[in-house]
Amino acid sequence: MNFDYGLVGETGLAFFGKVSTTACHELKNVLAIINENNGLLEDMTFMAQKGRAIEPERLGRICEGIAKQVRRADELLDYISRFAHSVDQFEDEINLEDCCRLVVFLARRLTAAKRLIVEVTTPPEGTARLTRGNPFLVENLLWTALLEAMQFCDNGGTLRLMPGERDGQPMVAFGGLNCLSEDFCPTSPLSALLASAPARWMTYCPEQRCELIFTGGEG
Amino acid sequence: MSANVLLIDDETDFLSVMAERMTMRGMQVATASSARDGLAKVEAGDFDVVVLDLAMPEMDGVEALKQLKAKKPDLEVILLTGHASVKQGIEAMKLGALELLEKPADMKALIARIEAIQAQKHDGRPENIMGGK
Repeated sequence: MNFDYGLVGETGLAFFGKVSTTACHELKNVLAIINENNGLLEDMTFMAQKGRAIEPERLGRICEGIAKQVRRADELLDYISRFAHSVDQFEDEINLEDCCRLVVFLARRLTAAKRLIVEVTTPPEGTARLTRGNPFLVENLLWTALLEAMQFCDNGGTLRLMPGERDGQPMVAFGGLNCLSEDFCPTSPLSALLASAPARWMTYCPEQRCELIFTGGEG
Repeated sequence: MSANVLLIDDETDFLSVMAERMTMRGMQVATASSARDGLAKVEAGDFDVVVLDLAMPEMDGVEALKQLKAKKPDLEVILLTGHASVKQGIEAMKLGALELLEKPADMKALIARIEAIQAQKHDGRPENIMGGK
């Protein structure tokens, strides 16, 4: 693979910015919920000082509410850390299934806006791997492809990302589409990323399916 | 007379705890976990104040604010946000939002604001079991 940061610099920065602001938003929400639970504990302490009884079940519910948000933030930070480390190496071996799961997690606020369920299937063993690729740019490509594929899904539908192989080349198929048409043309950010990968974007209208095939990679 | 408040936020855990705390302060609180649900509740109910999250999926707070004000121009709307840009804040104020508060919210400031609106609207004070806390 011969990735070129220059070609996709603007798209890459937009991707990085979107992921960062989405994560910041979610972490603010986590803190807001912890803050309100803390406030509720203060309220109950105040009321107890005034002689009102505290129900243990209510305290347990508050503690569980805080613990749930801590788990949520921890999971988010794990994914954000993985994402941030994807620029550590210019080239690395890439597992497309892991990459899909990361991108789907990072995009979940956007997919939630369409009430989409997004599933990633497990590929046959030994497939869906690039022996050499640029992790950040593959993530950017998958992110952009995911956003394009979402346009062809009904609100509340299920979008499936299926890493695998097409004629010995690693690929990710997008299934569960509903209104894919013959005249579909990839947007310019997707086109630039496809050229850099290099990869091809194939559409199969009768099956309502798209495929992102990594032509420079090896399965 | 207690303030009738509608909280609109896609974070349901946030909604439930906020509602519980505001109820302890003598308010009547309804919740909606989407802008669409909130708009329907505003149409059907009679609220003194709407506390609206600015960043929600499907329909964001600015669009929801436009539609709320179109339905009920006199309805007071306080916006809550995790990370508002200056541009978003200015746009919200131009559309008639009363205030833009940042998350995590200061409950005391929020309650004071709602009580001030309530005092202006009705001649009465809500019953607050937290004694103004």
